[in-house]
Amino acid sequence: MSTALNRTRRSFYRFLLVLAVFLVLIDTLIISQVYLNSIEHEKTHAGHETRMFTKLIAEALTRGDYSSVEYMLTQWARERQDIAHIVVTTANGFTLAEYRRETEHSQLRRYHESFEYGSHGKAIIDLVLDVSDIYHHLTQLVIQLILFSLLIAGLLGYFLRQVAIRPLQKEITEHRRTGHLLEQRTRALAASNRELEAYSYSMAHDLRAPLRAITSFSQILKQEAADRLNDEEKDYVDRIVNAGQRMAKLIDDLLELARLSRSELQVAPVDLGKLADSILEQLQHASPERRVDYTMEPDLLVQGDPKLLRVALENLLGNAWKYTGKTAHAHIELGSTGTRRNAMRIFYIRDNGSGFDMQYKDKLFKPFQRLHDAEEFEGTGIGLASVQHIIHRHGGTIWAESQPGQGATFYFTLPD
Amino acid sequence: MKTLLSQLAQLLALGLLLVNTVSAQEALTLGIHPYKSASKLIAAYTPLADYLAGKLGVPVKIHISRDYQTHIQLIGSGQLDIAYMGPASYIKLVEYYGSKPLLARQAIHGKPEFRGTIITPLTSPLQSLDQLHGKRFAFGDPESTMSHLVPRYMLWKAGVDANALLEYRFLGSHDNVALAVLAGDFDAGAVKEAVFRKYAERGLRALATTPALSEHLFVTRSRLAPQRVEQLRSALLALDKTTDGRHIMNTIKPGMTAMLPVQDSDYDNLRGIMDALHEHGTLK
Repeated sequence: MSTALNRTRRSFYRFLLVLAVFLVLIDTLIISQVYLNSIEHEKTHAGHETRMFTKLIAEALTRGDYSSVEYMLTQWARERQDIAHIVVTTANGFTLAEYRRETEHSQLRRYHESFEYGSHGKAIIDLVLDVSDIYHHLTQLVIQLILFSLLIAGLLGYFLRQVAIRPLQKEITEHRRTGHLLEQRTRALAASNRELEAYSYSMAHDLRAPLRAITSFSQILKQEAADRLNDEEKDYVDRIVNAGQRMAKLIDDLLELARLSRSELQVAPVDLGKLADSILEQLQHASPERRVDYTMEPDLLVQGDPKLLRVALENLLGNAWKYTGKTAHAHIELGSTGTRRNAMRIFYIRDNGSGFDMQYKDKLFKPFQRLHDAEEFEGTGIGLASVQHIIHRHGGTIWAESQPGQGATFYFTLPD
Repeated sequence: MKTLLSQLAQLLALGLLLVNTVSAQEALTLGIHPYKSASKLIAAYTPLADYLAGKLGVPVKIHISRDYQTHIQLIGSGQLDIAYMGPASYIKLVEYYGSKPLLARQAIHGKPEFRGTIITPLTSPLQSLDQLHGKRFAFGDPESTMSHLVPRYMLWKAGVDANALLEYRFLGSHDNVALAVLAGDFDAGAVKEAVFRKYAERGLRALATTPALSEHLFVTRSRLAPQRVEQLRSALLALDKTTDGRHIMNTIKPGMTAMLPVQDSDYDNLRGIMDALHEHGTLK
């Protein structure tokens, strides 16, 4: 957002700079044109006057009035402030009359006119015009004009800033403030979350001791008082022991989930195919009587925490293994869709097991939420919650598609 | 009756005017020939007029004559009391009206005489006046002593009459002659020595020099009272004795250092030249 502002600001200043340079160039161009015109005009004017003056002195010389030339020349040169030097030279090179005005300027223009007088007299009049007045005047003018242009550009810039950049800047400041507030809230939330996790962990841990007491003493009671209990009473004790064991498993799973939440992410390249291979081998080993077909796409490389990804795949493949338990020709498939979501590859694990009803898909990844009862398929309802947790921690997402009896497909994204 | 009365009144007025004129004749008139503009001349001679008035105890007015000829007539016929004039004019004055009482002649840088120069460009091949055959010659004013009369006489004596020249022109002033020769429009020209010196370094040299002639002088009308003439003469001759006097002379002409005694014979050499020119027919 602020880079956008900077960009806007940069282009804005660039525009002003270009405008200023353009105006200065235009000013200079105009004034230099005016200068050339003025000089040309001055020269033409001086030319006219010189020709007139030439006629006058030619007449005087024809009359034989040589000494009046100096006087006339001086008068004329004094009249015209811009004459720096004027000299009348006769054909034999004699300087008949000369007038020179002291000038330190270098802006001089020359002009000369030859003329005849009497029956055979020839002379030439040389004129040096000092145009530095025009030059200085126009130099001042161009400076004034440039200053004026810069002022205009400056004012324009000021108003544009007020109209365009200020509101944008304001909006950005507002945005930044909101962002800051959000970040603060997130941090506070994370802190309280961590606290809560720590609290759950310690609570789960503390629950294990009394639970162990309950199951252990129930088993002792069953052994010690076996002859005094009737069959119905024995069944009650068994139920207590079973319930206690299931609760212990639940607590273990809870602790595992908490552990996942708390551990740091150790990112490394992970081959999902290899990982799945070793997990399925374990599952086969645990239930050697099962016959499950599986297909696996090669080259499923991702960047992630190997331990966490193992837990996630254990859960997903474990589920597939579990829910195909009653399927005639069980089949599990691991692959990628070849498409991407949020710039991450989409992977999937598909089974042809019992599947689930899509209306419960929101419950799927919530802890302790089960779509099947424990009698049908054993489990605590923690697994998919852990999987989602792990995928989220990698920046990915997870979702599922299924129909009851048609198997289920779990999609998830991971960075590669 | 009425007309008679008005005629009487007119007569009376005329009579008063006459009385006024008679009493104004007590004042002296100093006449100057018009060698410069009237305003410049009045400015130049006012200190002298005031000085003379102070010395004589009567007002001295300045009169600028219309031209040289009129100037000679005015002093000759006694209408001017004092007149300042050049040597040639003085000779004409004596010739037409007889001798006049002389007051003083001016001295420029101490010398009561002046010369003329026949000039030619520095680069000119001319060495003597007789080489001016078939050349172009520039004179100043036809009436001018140094830029026409004396040089004309010298040319004639050197065997170069006016019609032996390719061309000759009167350019009006000494300065014009010098500049015209410098400009290469004439092979030679005649100027007074001071003008030659003024332009010499711009490229002129002297081809010949005229004899020394007596300077400008002050004369009076014939019938001015002798003691007045004496007062005027001593006043003029005393000018170089005081700072004020020297200042008065410098106002008339820069370089004028004194008024010196003068006599008619000082102008004999010029008179001889002019007579010769008359005989020759150059002057009428």
